[in-house]
Amino acid sequence: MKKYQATLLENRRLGPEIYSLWVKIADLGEVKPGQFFEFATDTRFLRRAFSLADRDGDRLRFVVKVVGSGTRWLAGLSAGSKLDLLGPLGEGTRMPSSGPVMLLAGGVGAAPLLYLARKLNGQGLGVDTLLAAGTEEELILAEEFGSLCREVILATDDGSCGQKGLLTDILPTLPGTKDIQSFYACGPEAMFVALKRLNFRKPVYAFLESRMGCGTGLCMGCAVRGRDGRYRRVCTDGPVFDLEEIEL
Amino acid sequence: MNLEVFLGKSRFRNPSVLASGTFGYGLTYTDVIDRVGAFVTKGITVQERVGNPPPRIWDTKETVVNSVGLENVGLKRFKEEILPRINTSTPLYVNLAGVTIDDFRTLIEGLRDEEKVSGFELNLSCPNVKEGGAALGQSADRVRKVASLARSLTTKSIWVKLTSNFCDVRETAAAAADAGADAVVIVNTLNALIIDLANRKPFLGGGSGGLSGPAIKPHVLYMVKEVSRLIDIPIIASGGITSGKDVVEYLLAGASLVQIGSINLVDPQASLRILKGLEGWLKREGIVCVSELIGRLEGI
Repeated sequence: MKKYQATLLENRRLGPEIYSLWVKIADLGEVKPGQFFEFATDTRFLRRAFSLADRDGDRLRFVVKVVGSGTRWLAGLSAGSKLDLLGPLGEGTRMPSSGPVMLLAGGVGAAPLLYLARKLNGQGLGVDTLLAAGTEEELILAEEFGSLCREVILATDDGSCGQKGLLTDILPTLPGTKDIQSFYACGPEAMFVALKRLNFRKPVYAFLESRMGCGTGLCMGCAVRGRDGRYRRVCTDGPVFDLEEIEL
Repeated sequence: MNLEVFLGKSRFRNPSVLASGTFGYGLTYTDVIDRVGAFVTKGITVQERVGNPPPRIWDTKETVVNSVGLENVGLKRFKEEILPRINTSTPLYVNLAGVTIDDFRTLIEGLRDEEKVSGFELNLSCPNVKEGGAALGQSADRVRKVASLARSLTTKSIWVKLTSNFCDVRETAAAAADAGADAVVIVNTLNALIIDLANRKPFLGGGSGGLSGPAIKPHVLYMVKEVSRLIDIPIIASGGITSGKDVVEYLLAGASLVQIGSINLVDPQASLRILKGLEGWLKREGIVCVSELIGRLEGI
């Protein structure tokens, strides 16, 4: 973990209240899929956490969904702005050793899975993505997933694009899911709850989002309950957990 | 330049203390711990506590409200698993979070022979547990009882961390001083309620929380100034410090040491930046010893 002075290179609207930010950070080492950065904002005392969505050398991509004043401030920045970042934070995800694998993306949960897809590209594991969102407008990064995956299945709650229905309703109907060796999922909490109920016999790695204090393990603010009744810190114990190991 | 501060015979290399609950158990970011004046652990209870359900944290530009609920490993695991791994030359203070007076006896007896422990911070003020703690800190009589008991059990330093919630800190601070405490810490977080308006219920999983951050600094400065006129033991100020100038203000108001808390959550290295700011200020003002500033507020 280090503190970085980053420069915003590009801020582009991806969908309703959803923005893609490319930032430049010099001298950054390896970042694992699932790891995140904490962004200082002008409107909040604590930083706001965003997983790395993509990387091209010293250019890093993040997806920001506006949910409050901190994210509103970030979404309003223009190219050239300076950013105060802490990272990379978190453990990141365990990489699969065998395939095929499937990425399950709900809404802006697509962001960290895109970076995972980038890292898995060219390994010959066979990566499929089920990319779901509320509406066609909220369906993001489809083109990028398309360039990195064997197959991308699109779905929207309202049927405005791809299959109609929730990700967790569509998933069991897909042919070939029984061959999948592991699932990597990121989306709203309700999606994880429903995934748990589907009870796959294969591991499901859940990329969790949480209201965080520090992101560095110091404050114990971002708690998720483990199966043993004890809380885990989303920031330093995760943010990726085996879905089996956590209670939602 | 001399940043040293003495509290009785205890020497601190500079006036900064990492506040309980904002720097874990002291097992990470040890480069920071090694350079501050003292480190206070996360609050330790007799039994392990899982803490409050999420959400546990909320903020605005100038405030943080937390409701962690004293999640900690408990006395036994702290002693066996954590303490052996803490390795620093910086004075280590263990924050003891008793629910009853007997808890404080158990905690102090359990840790008083540990060489690594320089002293104890009696947590009579956590707003995030329903029982004990803050209730003990709200009455001068009970503060006197707990502090006297602690004093009778150990020769190690005893700091009493006070609350200003529903009580008069001047009275509880005087009681701690009477009982033989080495210092009082002013003050723990302020009771706070955040409302989830859409659902018409408390937002935080624990129901309510503790308010900290820069917004409380003017209030805590005032309390430090008031209490410092009344008691003879040192005051450790805690409330919204984010810069070297904030440290100077607290020293002028009467504090001997300051605790750095919420800002650690923004940047684990913040205390080092604050110390640099303090040094810069002293240099500009031509002050050689930081301890010269303590209680030197003019015009009061």
